[in-house]
Amino acid sequence: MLSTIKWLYPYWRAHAVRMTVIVVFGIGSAVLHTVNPLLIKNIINGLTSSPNPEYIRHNVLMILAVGFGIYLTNLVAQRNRAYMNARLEWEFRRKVFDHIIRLDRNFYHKYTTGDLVTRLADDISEKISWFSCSGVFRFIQSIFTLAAVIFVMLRLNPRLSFWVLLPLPFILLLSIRTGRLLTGKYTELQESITALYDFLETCFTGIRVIKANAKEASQEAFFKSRTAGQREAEISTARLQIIFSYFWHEAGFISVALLYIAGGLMVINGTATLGELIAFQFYANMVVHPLMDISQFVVAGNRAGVSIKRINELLATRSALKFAAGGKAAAGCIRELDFRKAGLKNPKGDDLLLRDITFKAARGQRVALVGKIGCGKSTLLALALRLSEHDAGEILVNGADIRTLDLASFREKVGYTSQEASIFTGTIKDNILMDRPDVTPEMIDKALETAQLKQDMHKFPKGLDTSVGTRGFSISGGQKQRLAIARAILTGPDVLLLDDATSAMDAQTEDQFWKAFRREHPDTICLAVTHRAHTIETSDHILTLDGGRIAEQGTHAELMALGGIYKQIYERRKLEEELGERP
Amino acid sequence: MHHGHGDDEQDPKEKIDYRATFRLILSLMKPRKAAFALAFAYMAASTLISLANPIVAKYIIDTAIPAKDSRMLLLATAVFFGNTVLFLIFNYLLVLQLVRTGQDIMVSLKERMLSHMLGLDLDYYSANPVGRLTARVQSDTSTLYALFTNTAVTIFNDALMFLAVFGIMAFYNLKLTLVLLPVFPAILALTWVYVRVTSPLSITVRKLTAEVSAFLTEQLNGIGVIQAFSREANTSARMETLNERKFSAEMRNEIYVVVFFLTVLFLHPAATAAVFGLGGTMVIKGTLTVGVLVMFILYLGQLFEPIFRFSEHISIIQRSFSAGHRISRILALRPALVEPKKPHFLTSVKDGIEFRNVWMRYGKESEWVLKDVSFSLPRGRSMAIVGETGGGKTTVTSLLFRFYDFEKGHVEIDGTDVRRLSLKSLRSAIGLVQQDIYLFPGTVMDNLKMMDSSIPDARVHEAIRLMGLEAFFKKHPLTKKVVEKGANLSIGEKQVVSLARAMVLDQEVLVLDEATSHMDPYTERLITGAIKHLLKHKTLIIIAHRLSTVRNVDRILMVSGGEVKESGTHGELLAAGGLYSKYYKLQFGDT
Repeated sequence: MLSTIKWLYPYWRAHAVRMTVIVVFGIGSAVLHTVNPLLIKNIINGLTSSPNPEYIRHNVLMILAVGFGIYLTNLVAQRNRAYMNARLEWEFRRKVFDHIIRLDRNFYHKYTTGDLVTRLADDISEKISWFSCSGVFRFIQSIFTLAAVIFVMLRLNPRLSFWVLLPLPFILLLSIRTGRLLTGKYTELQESITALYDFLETCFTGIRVIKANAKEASQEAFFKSRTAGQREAEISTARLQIIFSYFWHEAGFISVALLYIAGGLMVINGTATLGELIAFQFYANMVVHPLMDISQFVVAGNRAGVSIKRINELLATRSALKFAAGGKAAAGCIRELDFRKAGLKNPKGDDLLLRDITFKAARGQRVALVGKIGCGKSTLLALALRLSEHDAGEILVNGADIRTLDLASFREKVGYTSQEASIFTGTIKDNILMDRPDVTPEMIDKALETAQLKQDMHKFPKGLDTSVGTRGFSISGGQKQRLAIARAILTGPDVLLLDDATSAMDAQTEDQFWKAFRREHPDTICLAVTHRAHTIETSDHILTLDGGRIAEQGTHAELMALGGIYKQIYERRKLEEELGERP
Repeated sequence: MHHGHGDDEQDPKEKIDYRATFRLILSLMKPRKAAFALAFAYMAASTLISLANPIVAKYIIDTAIPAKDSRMLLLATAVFFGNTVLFLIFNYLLVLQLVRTGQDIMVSLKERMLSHMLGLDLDYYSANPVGRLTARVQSDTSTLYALFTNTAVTIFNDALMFLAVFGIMAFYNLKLTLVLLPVFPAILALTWVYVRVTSPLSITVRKLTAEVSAFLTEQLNGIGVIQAFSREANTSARMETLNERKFSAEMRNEIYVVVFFLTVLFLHPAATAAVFGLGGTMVIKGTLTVGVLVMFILYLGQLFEPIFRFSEHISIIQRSFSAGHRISRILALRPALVEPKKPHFLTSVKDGIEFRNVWMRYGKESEWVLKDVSFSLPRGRSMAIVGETGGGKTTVTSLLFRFYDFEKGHVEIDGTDVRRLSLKSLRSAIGLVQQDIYLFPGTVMDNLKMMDSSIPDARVHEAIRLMGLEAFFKKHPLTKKVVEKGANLSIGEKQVVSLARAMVLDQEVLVLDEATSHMDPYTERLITGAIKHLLKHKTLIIIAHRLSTVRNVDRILMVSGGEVKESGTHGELLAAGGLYSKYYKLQFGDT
């Protein structure tokens, strides 16, 4: 809990004025709350002793005034707490998001997208946000309310206070015990619900098998036994829940009963007034409520603490990218890429994902990367783009270490398509442009033409301004690929990295693409992961990867003559194309 | 655990069929009239009891204290104490009764939904992702559960309390009661306006929450491209815009929430002031006692409680109707493939299966998926279907199970058209084994029986012996619990379980859809052995991906582009040097 508060403190400090307002108005509200029972006491005593209409009216107006004061103080405190909850949620998410989008591929291997989204969305919105201000400062307000009420009670009548406060420690103790039992019940309930979800998921995914074997009835029967389990868990949780709620909402009645008998006798004896007795009945309920906020603080605080740890884990990750000492040079025109024994460690183990990668690619060359799934083709492209940082050997650009170059200016000279064409919500134009400045409509047109997407443009109702839907939902897989290619070649890069970017094209379209590409960009170095036999054999240089290293490299003719792994892969590919099988 | 975003949310544009939904809700409550009646009885008891306490306070103030009678005081306190305990007991019984009844309704609704959904055609399952189906059964029913437990009865409870409190107050002092009366309809109207204003706002907040997740998913999935094009700063700026939109939407919604609740909260001291102001004058005039005045103040506190609950009720009712609407839409669906009018019952496959010139497509306008497919498989023989993905292999077996109906040709078992056979008897006689499976949460034994408890344990043991899998099931005892859909078993081990299951279910004809995944040599040997045992005992159709399988079957059907291209034994087809021989080299060659 202390570490949670420590973590939140700098954020509060950044909003010092607002936080002070929250605390001050919270205290104000706590103090005002203690006044109303006093006014009621005045009225009752006024009415029972010597009725004075002026005095009564004064106190009645005071009730209104205090009520309005509570309204205002609460309005300010609550509005600002709500503001801070939402504001801090925004700041947390910004901080984490801005941090992680600059991290390298090691990080994205370690955390799945689903996991990251859960942390950035649910953890921050559901668990941390409310606690970061409301959770903590409602607790503080409750402490003040409790203190103020007890203080006023003791000043008013210590003996009555004793009777009202007597049951509190027992209630607190019992409620903590019940609370613990309840936590256990919640876990059981959650497990029974998860079991049902698992069952349904298995049942619906395996629907063919169930139907084919006519086992619907036994599935239903089994489901019945599971739902019965959840029913039992729900009921036994509910039992405890009711009792638990009694501690907070109804437990004041024991204090009230003690008050009636002890206080009533004191009024009869003349050691207390009737007004005090009534006022204490209100106080009795006022001391129970803050206890609820306090216990809530502990529960929510523990949950927030767990989520904060999950967030911190992301913030603590450092990028693996290394930069050469002595400043970064802006990249000029890239004429040559030179890999010398480059290697990459597996972030999850001791083995190497890539090792001894040595090859050269010069202006105007196309290098084809071939090999089985998982042999390291995509990883090699990531090294070339510095999405991953090589751990061994060197990578030279125009003869100079890649690490001496300014990263952004280097990447500006490189075009890239990922294996699963990354299409973002927005229009076709947004996806090609990616917010890059100084792009003319002619450049877009040219890129569409080269990428063989131009012939499809008439199919889009609004042309370039057609929305592609979430992750490109409303356009076909082939269109996505060509859109990604258009994006990559838009600014005429010196290096083009294509990760299986043409798999959904038919042979003829692909051929047209390569021809158009060479016409428009004769000097571009192209590294292409590809499965198309024709593309492979017409490449200037071929790298055959196997288990993270280059098994064979050379031209098609050289490698065929070698009669090794390349020949096998190539022939198999030819056969597959003949049989119409997709890779 | 995370169960998908956005899908359970209310779509503001969704047209809800209120009448159908209301009928559904009513039909769920009807069979439990007695249970609800008991709940109402508990409710009436607990409410009336709780209303007696301010009267006790009045008695103490007006009678016991002025009489200086400590015995009367003790008695009154005892009544107060006993009364409250009684209230707590009745309230406990009430809540529990509602939970029980609500659970009973939910459990039977869930069972009804599952049973209904299992009867629907496979098209329904391909049109709806699994996450959505589970959400219908689990989330939508729990929304309705909240309606039955929190709202349906509580609303009556609150109404009853209002009536009773005002009745008691009027009995003691009509004038003071009439002054208070207009406050509450005003609050009701205020609540109505509040809900109308905030419900679109809170839907916007929920939508933006879903949008944040969607944005994060999309950007983080495309992180490579974002970095490659140095778009980090732009992406942050977009995140910033979205964060800001969510922030503003929340603040817009929040201001109504804060103002509404504080206003209602303020009405309490305002009403208190009114009672004291007016009542005080009456006390001074002697037309009202202090005890009654205090009683009125205590009742005020009780009247304000339901008001806070009221806005919650309205939102629960709204959500229940959209959940109920989705449920009733599912229950209204009817499967296209049903039992024939005068079904022929298949007890045993005596001769075999025959396909003659079968043509099939999934829609009137779509392309043919099977073109003129013919083959026959005599009882006791085995056949492998090979060919490219999407070439029609699975469709052939789907027709056999009558998952779909074909358009032209004949599919017959022992000379009877499958469309004339009782569906249940057909599917009981022919079994499907799919090797890529999730296992059910339960024991290994449950999974082998496919949850069918009517299968005796002895048959499971016998099947394991026949398959020669004793050692395997020593290592994975039958009592072992499967957790997380089989995460504690490897892919290969799950496949062994699914093969053993085929023997346990004891059908004469089996369709085996082999898994494509590769595995370690030990498991591979186990699976090959298991399939050999099945070949010995059953009539088998195998969608084959394994070298050992195609070698061992009696006949191979090479299906490509929806047509039977070649057919014969492994040796014959290999010798012919056609499509199969190429395919064989590709699939099982040494690369």
